[in-house]
Amino acid sequence: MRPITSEVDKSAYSFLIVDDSLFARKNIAKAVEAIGGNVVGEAVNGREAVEKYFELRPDLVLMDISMPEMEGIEALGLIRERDSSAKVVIVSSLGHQEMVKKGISLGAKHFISKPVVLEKAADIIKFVLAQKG
Amino acid sequence: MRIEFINPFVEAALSVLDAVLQEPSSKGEMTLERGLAQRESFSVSFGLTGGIEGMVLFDANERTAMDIAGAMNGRRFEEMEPLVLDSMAELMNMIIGSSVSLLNESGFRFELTPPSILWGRDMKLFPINLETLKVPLHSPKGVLTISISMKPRVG
Repeated sequence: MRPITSEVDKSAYSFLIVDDSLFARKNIAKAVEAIGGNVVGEAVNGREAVEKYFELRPDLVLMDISMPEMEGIEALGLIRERDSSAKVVIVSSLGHQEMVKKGISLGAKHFISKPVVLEKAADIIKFVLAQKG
Repeated sequence: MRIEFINPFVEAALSVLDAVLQEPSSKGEMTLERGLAQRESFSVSFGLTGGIEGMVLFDANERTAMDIAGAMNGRRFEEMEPLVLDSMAELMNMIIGSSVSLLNESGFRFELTPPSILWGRDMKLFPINLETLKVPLHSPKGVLTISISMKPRVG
């Protein structure tokens, strides 16, 4: 999955950010803001992510892998099981390659590695949003 | 202690620090000690389990922790507020994640426990029966030291 820069109707998109780190949530939110997106919700673990996804129905979920209570991969699976059109991008440190592969097999649309490089993250987000289905 | 096990932590730490601080950091002189793992008042530790047992600990003084967190968040901190602790834990998670990736490529197999934050003055942490390799990293915000105490698991 090679990120490409593509223009999208930026203001129309809503985002759910899922990470147990406050810093990480604030940081990835900068990439969302950079493309004019709107963070409509935040969650600190996978369980909260599933609840908020179905409450808020965001256009894109930015999901960490390693979190307490329920990890991101399990949350991704639960979201995609009930909504196969859900767009989820994994945001995680290197070292979770096996989990990332599992995430992609469960339907994650892309992967953003930490430390997040804002320009790259914004490109990936735009690429995923521009994808059909 | 196997040196090939240490280098990925140093390499990953320098790479992540460079990315986060947007300025280069450099490695200081390695020292091998028995016992004492922590010198400064703020640290983040990870346990190693599996084929290798032990501990990886990052420590810094409070000013350095606040200045690194400040650079990560684009503001200055004057107290060890929750966002400083959170930012430092996330920084260490990124370093550890990159280290594990490099180590896995080298054939090492082990698991890491979630990070623990230790914060307080005059603390001493002594891994029992383990040597500790310490590597100071000189960042633009101060010294961050990596201490690694480990041994191959027996049995």
